[in-house]
Amino acid sequence: MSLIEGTGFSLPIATISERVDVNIDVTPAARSAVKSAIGEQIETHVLIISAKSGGCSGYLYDMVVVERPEEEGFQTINIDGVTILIHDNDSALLNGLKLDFKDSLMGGGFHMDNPNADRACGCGQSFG
Amino acid sequence: MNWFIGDCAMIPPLADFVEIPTGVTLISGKDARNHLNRMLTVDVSNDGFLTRKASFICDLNGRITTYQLHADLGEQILLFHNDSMSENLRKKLTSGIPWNENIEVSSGDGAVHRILIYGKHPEKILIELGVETEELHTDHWTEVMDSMISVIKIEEEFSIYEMLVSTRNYSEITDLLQTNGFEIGELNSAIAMLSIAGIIDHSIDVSGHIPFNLGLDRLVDLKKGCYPGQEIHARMESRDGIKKSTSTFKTNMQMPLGKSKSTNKEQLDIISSLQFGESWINLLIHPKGMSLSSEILVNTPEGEITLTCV
Repeated sequence: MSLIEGTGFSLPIATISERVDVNIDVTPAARSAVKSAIGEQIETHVLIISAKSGGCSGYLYDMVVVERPEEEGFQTINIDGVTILIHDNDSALLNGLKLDFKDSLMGGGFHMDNPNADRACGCGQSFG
Repeated sequence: MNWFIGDCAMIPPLADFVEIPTGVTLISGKDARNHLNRMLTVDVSNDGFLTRKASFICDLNGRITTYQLHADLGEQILLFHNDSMSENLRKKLTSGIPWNENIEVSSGDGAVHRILIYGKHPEKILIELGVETEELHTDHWTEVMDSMISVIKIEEEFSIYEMLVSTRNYSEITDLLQTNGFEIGELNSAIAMLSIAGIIDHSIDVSGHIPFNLGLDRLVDLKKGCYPGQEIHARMESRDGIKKSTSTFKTNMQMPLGKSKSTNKEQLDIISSLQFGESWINLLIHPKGMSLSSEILVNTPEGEITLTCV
């Protein structure tokens, strides 16, 4: 696209996020649920908890079980043989997080209690 | 509107052009669209190449943080916005990027220029420049002369077009416009003309306002899913909480920006006041039920000002 070819644009703007040493609390119910989700891949796979823009309140929680990523910049938390990773960029937003799991048909699943959130969305997936 | 604009000698008989000062931000990368879509009040997930669209990013209370115009270039999306919103917008765009997403945000201030072409007959010249004006759309950019053009408004008495021109081509394009009969216009008059046409230009600072109060309901998509401020917008919409509206008023002197009260005690909020010939064209947020057919009087430190709805 010739409109933006050539000079004039800055190099990508980098945000330097505050990095803090992350501590999180995982309830026994959540530990059990995470273990169950990872299953037999517990040696090779990790749980990554992150915060991404969006949701009603500004940020959305995201949890994925993936093969241990090669990217750098993660902090590692080991709980009962389960490896949880939190990226440095998310550390200030997620430090102090309490991860719980509710086993119920209505409103069941993982629940986050985040001391950094001034406000949370009704569905519990978004905070700001 | 027509009685005012029709009689107004301020409308260029052929066409004028003017550069609108703008902040330019480029967001790029394969995940740029998803990232942007999580924050905007409109849905851009299915936008195609060269889509032209406006959007807001709001805060948790549903108030506007940034107001931008999009030029969609596929994996690169150009955003044009008020200069004063640049820092806020770029901060928003560079935060909350997940570890596994590829997104870059760059400043393009000064790299791309936004030009308004307006007057009674811009088509006569644009056609000579090879622009098929009948094929232009408000929601789509069309490539022309290494630049992009779109139509903003076509009225009986005037029409307004918008061009995006790179710095590299700026002199060549503006020389060509002048050679073909366009004249350089006045910035305030151009933005005032947009206000008369019921359009709030992206150069006007609307931060802190609720989109509904600006009459920009079309830039709030309550069906797209969550975005910051969505809960507030949905509640306002469903509980008949939209109590204000925005209209254009003419005065014979400049209005002070910000809140004021009419002599009837109606709360007003002036968001722009621009000279247009002998008059001033003002965008005002006012109570929805306020009568627009009669003159409104406002007391200011400079004295009483009479407002007439355009």
